Amino acid sequence: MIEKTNEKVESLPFSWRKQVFTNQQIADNWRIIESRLKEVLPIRKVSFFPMRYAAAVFVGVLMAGVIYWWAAILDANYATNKWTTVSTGFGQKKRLVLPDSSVVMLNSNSSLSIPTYWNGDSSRLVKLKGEAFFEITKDPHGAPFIVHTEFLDVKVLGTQFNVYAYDSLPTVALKEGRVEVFYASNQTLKQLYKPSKIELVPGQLVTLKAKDTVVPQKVTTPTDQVADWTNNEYYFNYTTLGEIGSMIKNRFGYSLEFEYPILAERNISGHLKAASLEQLLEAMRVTLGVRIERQNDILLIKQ
Amino acid sequence: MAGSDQNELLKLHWQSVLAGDAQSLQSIHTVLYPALMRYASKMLHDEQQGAEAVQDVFIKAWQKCLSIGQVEQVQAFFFTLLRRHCLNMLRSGKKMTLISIVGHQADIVFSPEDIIIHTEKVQERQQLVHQLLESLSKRQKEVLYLRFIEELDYQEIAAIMHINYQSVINLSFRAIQMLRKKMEAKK
Repeated sequence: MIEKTNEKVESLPFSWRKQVFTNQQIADNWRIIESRLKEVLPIRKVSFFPMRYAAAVFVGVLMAGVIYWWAAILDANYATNKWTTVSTGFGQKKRLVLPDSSVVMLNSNSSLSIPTYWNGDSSRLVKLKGEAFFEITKDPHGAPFIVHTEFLDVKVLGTQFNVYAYDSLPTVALKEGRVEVFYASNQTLKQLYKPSKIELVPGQLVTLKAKDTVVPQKVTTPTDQVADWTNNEYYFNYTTLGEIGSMIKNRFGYSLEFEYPILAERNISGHLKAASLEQLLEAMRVTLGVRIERQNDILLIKQ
Repeated sequence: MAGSDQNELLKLHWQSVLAGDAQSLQSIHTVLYPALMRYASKMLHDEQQGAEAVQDVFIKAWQKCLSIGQVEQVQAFFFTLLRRHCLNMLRSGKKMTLISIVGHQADIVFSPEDIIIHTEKVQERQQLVHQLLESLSKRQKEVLYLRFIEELDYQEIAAIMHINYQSVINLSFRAIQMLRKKMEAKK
């Protein structure tokens, strides 16, 4: 078959040309890759020097700081580790692969901080502001994976879950596996109480109303709707415009205002795909029959 | 075949990469950069983005090398990574309507400069060939590109494009046949 095709090719009055590159061009491109490789989190254990340094500091902290016992275990990590932070702007999404091969999809207006000297056996703690969808690799020998946000911490053994932590109404939704969500049940007296814990099974979403006393609310959500944003999909279930406004503010940076307050109560149910804010607004406009005016970074919803 | 010698060499380099040697990754890069760069530029219709895509693919390969493990066909493997990456880049740039589903096929565009004509009436024939090539389907164009410009074999193309071996042969054969017929007719 291959020979026959070659014959036919030779009988054609033309041939194929390919663009060539000089060694210089190839080397230049490699230089760019090389500099990026340095920024990439090392996938293997780093040299022994940081470990020794970290050990010396830890011993010092133990001798000096008995009072800050349980908080200090977390703080010692923060003090001795440097953090590498990846952030996204409005309307931007990023996909990160961590040194333990866990995958994080970072949504807009969010940031994820990871220990610069990653040592999967002693700590897999990352800090999140905003929203991200996590697919964590199971590591029975390694440390449990912990996502730390302002109002809650998620402890994972090897699962897929979404954390929405832009403001004081954070949510965690579990797609697969098992997680434990830790939160301080009393915000003002946070330091004195041991954190409360709530466990999730797949298909559950928990919202924390973080005011004086934190009351978690669990609802069920179909697992394929968890982190719909990663596919640019939106699932609405009697979601009010007020709630959508809050989500748009967090992810895209635009505030929603309403001509009449009652408009905020109108709701949408359904499923749609929208790759940009414009498409989402268009869908809302068409479904609800409203007019949307944009003034700087405020969107005004009118009848 | 020179191809399999090159593959043996690339396999050895990849094994060094698995052991942590970044220089071996550079060796692979030196060998594969031209082909990968051409392919990415064609898929994305932009040289700058093509370069970025190739860089991203090497970074990805480095990050995930341990979970990838041994690789049998190194060139096809990198092509597959690159293809998926380019399609993702295209998909996230594309606007989706409420109902439509984005197709999984990139459009390779052959330009007149890709073709060398062997007769005197260069200008006319180039235009003609260009037109004929553009009239082929997206999949036919990609198969012809991978076969004749990058000189990959049918098995590699089948792996890269996620279609079966027979489909690759059919696409290639029919495309060439049609081109030949039309060119003869115009003579």
